[in-house]
Amino acid sequence: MKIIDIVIKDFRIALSDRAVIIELILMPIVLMAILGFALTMTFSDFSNTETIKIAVVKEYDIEAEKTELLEMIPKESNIDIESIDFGDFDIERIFFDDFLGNKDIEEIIQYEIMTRDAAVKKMENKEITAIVILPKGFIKDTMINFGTSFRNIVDIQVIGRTDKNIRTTIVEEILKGFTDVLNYNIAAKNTFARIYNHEGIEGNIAEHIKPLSKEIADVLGAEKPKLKYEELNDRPPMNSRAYYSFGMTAMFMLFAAGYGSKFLLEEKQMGTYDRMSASGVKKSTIVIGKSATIFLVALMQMIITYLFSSTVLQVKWGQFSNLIVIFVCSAFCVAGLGIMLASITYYAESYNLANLFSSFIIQIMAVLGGSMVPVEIMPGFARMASKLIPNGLFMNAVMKNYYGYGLDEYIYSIVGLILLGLIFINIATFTLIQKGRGIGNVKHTNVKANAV
Amino acid sequence: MVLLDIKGISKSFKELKAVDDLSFTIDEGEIFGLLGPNGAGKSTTISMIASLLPPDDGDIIYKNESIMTKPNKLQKELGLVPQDIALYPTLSGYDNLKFWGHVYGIRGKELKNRIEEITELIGLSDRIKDRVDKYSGGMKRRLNIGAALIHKPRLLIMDEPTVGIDPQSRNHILNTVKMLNKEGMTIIYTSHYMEEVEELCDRICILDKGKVLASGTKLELIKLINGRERIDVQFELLNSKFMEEIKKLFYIGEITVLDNRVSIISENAENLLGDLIQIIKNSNTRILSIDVQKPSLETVFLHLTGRALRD
Repeated sequence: MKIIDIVIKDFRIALSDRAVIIELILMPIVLMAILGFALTMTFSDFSNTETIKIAVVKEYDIEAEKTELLEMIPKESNIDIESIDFGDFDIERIFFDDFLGNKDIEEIIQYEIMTRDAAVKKMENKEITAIVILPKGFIKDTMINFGTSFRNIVDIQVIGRTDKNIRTTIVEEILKGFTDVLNYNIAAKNTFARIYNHEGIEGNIAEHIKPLSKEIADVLGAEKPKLKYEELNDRPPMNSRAYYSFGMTAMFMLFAAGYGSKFLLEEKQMGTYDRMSASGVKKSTIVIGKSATIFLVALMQMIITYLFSSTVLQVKWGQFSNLIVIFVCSAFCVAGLGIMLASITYYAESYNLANLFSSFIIQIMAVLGGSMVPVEIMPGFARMASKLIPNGLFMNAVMKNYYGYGLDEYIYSIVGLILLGLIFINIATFTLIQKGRGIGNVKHTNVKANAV
Repeated sequence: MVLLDIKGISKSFKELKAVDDLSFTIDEGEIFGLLGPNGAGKSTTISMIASLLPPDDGDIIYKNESIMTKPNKLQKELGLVPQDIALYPTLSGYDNLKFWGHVYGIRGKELKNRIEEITELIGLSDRIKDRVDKYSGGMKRRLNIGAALIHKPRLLIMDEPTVGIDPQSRNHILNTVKMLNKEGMTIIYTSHYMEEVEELCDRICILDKGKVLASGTKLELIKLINGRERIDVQFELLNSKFMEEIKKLFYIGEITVLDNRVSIISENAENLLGDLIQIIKNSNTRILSIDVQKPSLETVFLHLTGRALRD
């Protein structure tokens, strides 16, 4: 009962403070509305079903590179140069006909071959989204990689428009899929060649390589881009209003932790902590009460942003029951984070950490967690970091829920939120125990002043 | 009947011994004063009685049970008025009282009635719905006391409850304390204002540097100085000639010098006053004031420690 009394009291205090209401409730609502409408064009990428137009620049000279390749074969070798057929390994045909000409890819990307200057001009005129540059040596180096045990670097470059980040990323990802498949084939060839040298296998090498490369790709968990796209096609398109509703909710729930980070030390400095202790309220009751307050503040924030975005901004959040699970687990994690910060602040008897968290660390976490821009277009380390922070896990879960995935598809985010929450609570407990034999045995503020 | 028995308690903070082997008893229904300057160990003693700090040594017995092992009994019957205002400034006075009532398990109609009683007692009926941060210092102090009374405590500890407030609020608080005591409440009252302690307390314990210097009723303590009076002379600039001359007087008592103030405790203050004025005149020094004090606790403290209470 006393826990509830502490929670009600803290809630009243929060609601009596205009700055707190602005920071925790109004700011996320205002920002999600502003960003949602202001960045509509950026997020039209997600909803636009038009194909992505790209230019392909061939910086290589196919005939010259083939000739160069043939000249590299030592004359004293027994290979009959005239009889060499590039048929199976014609990389240009593979890239343009088999890959970009593939029916599935064509639905996403339309390409046009042109010079670099022409491509740049088209991009400046916003006629294309990206330029793919096949570098000098593309044919020769790829053939060397296929035909010999050497590995030359083949660097396919993608230049994208800054206002079409997401679409550029799609192009990059698709090309990455192509180069991955190419690498599996090279790996398969090398493996086969080694076996061939040892065992002596008859027949067409290519026939042996195909099943082997597929096997390697399967083992490495490779996924062809077309499969990914087909899944996305069944989902509702993402728009800026939805994205920033999720993003701002994820970011501002961290402010609930920031708000809670001052709870214990403030209570101590006001003298009300001692007053409660003197009345027989256990230290653990106070800490649990504070954690419950942070939990409820975070939950209330999420519910308010949900209600606002779904009614005013017309954002569909996905399945409601799953959303409740996400909200509750996220609020638990935030409560853990808040009480951990509160215990460290209390331990240090200084608000430095709490202030640093609210003014700086939250911003970093917001970026890493994808509150500002989608994590998909961020570097690898940022994508990894987003899986280790509460707001990143929240974003992943709500986005998946939005797209209509079941709970099982983002269960790692849910488990991650609970685990993080438990880790935070353990750190808080450890910190408070370190402070003394429980937090009530800490030096009394007045006593300290007198003792000096 | 002894309500609280303090048995040789000590408390140290690193090198500093804040309380050193302190012992006294408090009888039911009395106002017990803890008198001492800042740093005497009053607040530490109170923190130990309120079970906020465990003593390093000794024991505290409340109604024949140690609070070290069974603090609940005392906690339920204890009202604590801390030295600092321990209230929630952004809540109203009413909400503060309501919360502290809940903490003590009082709810519903009982709580409502109790809040009304308290509000009237502390004289805040017309402002009780206002936020505490809109209150004056005196009003906050009164509400601070009200929060400690919400559960009708048997033992009330008041730690410097009149620090930094206007005379009107101070009088109100002192009257409230007297009234509560009249109703049977036992009160521990700490202050470094000697007049308050003199006015309120049945028994007084004088503390300094964590130790009991003397304890007893006001009369018992004054007997320690044999009814001697004190003369305080405040100089603009004290010179050595005056000090040399004054020490030559054969009947002079104890002399204490602090900055430009000289305090003399003497059995014959009337005769001394005439001689003193003559010496002041001869020593060619200017005085700002001269004051003859009746025998008081302040004089007792000066006699015991060689220092004034508010040094």
